[in-house]
Amino acid sequence: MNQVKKRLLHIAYAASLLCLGAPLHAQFPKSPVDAASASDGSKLYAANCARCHGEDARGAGTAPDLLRSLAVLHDRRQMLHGKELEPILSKGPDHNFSFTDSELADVSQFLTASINGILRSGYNAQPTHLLDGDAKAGEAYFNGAGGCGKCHSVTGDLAGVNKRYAPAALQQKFLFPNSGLGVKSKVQVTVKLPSGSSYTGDLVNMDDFTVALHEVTGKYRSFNRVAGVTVTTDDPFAAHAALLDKYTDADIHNLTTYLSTLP
Amino acid sequence: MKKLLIASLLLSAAALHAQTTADLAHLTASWPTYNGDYTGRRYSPLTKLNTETVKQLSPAWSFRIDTTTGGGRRISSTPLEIDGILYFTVPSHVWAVDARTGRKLWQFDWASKGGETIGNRGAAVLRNTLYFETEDCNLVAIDIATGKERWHVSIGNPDQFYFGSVAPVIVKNHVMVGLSGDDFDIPGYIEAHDPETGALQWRWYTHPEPGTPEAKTWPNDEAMLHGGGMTWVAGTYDPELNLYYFGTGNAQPVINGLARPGANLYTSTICALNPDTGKLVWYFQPNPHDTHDWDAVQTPVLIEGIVDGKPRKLLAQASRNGWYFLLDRTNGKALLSTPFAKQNWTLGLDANGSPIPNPEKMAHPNGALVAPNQAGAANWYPPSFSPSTGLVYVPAYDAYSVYYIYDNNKKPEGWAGNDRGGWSRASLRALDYKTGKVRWNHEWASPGGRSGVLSTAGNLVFTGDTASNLVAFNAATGDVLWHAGLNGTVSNGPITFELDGLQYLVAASGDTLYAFVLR
Repeated sequence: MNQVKKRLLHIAYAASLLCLGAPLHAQFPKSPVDAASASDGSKLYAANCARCHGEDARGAGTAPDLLRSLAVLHDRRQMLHGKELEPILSKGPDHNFSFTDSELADVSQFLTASINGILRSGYNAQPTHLLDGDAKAGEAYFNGAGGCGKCHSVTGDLAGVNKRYAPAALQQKFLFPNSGLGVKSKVQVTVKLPSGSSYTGDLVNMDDFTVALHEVTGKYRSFNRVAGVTVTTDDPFAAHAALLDKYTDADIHNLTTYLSTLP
Repeated sequence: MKKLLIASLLLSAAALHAQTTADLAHLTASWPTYNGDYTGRRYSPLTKLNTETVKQLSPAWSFRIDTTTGGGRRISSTPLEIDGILYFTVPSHVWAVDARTGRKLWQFDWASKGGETIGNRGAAVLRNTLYFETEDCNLVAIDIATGKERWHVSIGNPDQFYFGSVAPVIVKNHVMVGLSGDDFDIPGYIEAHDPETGALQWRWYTHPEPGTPEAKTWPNDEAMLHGGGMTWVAGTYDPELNLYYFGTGNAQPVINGLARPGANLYTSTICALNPDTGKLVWYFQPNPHDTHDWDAVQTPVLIEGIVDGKPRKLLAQASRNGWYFLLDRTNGKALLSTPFAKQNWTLGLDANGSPIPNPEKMAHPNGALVAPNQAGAANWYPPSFSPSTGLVYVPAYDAYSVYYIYDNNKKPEGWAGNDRGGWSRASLRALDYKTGKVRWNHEWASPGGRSGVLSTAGNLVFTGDTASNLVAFNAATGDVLWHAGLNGTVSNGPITFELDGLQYLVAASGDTLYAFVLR
């Protein structure tokens, strides 16, 4: 991997941590999976187990759901690599398998990966059907009710936008431009002091008592919000936030489809 | 002198053993249980600290922890204050600290075998024993004099992603224990343990018995028995009615609910249980067929109110789904169901006063824009009710995010989707308890963190802002009266107590407990 790519990945990782924030639940213990072993395990599973327990191990007919099996869950959490599954597989009712230790470990890794995959953060979390909207209706919304055309142009600033963002990212980008990756514009803040002096710049932070900004020169300034000090902000994304109360889900799907399929 | 000494020893012994159900019914000068008292109001009768004196509140001490297990060093527990000693927790650790000086008396370290360490909300104390839950599913009893373990008992199977985070509550001779864990399709439950031995007295699963009318709110028993409904937050208790009130968590699988059509009782439900038998007496469901991880676990606050000129026993919940509910707590009948924050997911109310979810606003593979977001209009951060102002104080978010289904398997399991992105606006909101109408709203200058709330008879409300300030408000008007900058967002519910005639205020921010005092 080249350095730039590596750095981008690091940035993406850091940003993903930032935007997920507090609600993110870490898995602990995580029961990490060896991908090669799990892959071998999936083949063993398909050949020997899937007929009764289902291709996805979620049970079929009278054979139980293995993702909910206490024995499998114990094997996963303790990372036993199939040691305690062996007696069930070799001597359990309707079971007569003689897997080697290595095969047991592979089956265990496949089942562990299957469980990890259904947890909060476990999914290969990609929305689908994002281009199911009506591009024509999306275009009409862009130029009409949405008012997008007042600031944006699909031949100007948005030219090639579908090359820069996958549909899932693009949808998030127009809904919540100030959230997640690639924030382009900061909230502008102006602080006027009783003396008449006025300072404007990128908002760094603000609470009820203080406000801090970076001037265009890069100089950092902070102020106490005492009597006589006025603070005004200009959120470059205010128009996007205002749309949140107005969108229908169809508007969102149509707009996603339109922007993602621009020539 | 000797007589005096013996008398004072006897007195302190009496004080040590005075932790009874009666003491926990109404808050006085200490803070002996998670919510201060059984009502869940987090309303202190102390008045030395008031709208006139609050500006003189000054730092007393701070105490920084340097140990924790996973999850970052975040104190989200509400400390207990008993006989001049504070007891508080983080996952797998407990501290006893001198409430006057911040000096550590002992620290208890549990050797965890691993579990979810999102937070630990605190401990319970009965006489000379402290109880707390560990993330690897144990209830641990500790001698409060020495900080040594007396016993521990299992409260769940961590292999199935159950974990302990809830502050236990003492009700008579029961240690009430809630369970956490919504990664996986397991049934929730609440249980009671013997305070002396730890023995299990009863366990109540948060799903109906198969074959009962309520079981028809699930497509089949298999779905119901794996249907979630964790008991995430410490409950409240009415000693007269002998009812223990608590909310339950989301249904499972969490986001894709297509394979579990129906209201999915008793998930996202307020339950009233007899604490002696563990039998359900009534229920009300604020959030039928939860597909947004909103639960209904926000503290059920007990209010002695007047409705239509008559005194009523009420229960109020400002729920994570953006709705405020006022119930008759003798029978669970809804007197009021009304939004208190931005919400767009309902089609109105059913005959019981439960919101009817709009299928369009459940998750979709290509997204549904939903208010509130997953973090919710409210969350676990404890609210407060002041009987002086008649206002319920809620850390409220107006927020949007997009809910996606990621797994369209005909048998979805676990999460099967999630929400993404977001826009939010954060406020401290004061609601009229009878009408749910916003009497005052303080929008914070920026979105950000959330904190618990405390109100007092000094006409004050304390909470954290979204940045790093502990803030005091005039409880009636919402005017900001005082603030102190901490090292981050207030991460728990602030408490107040009085010692030697001095009123203290204690709040946590991250790894540090801050004490302020009015001298």
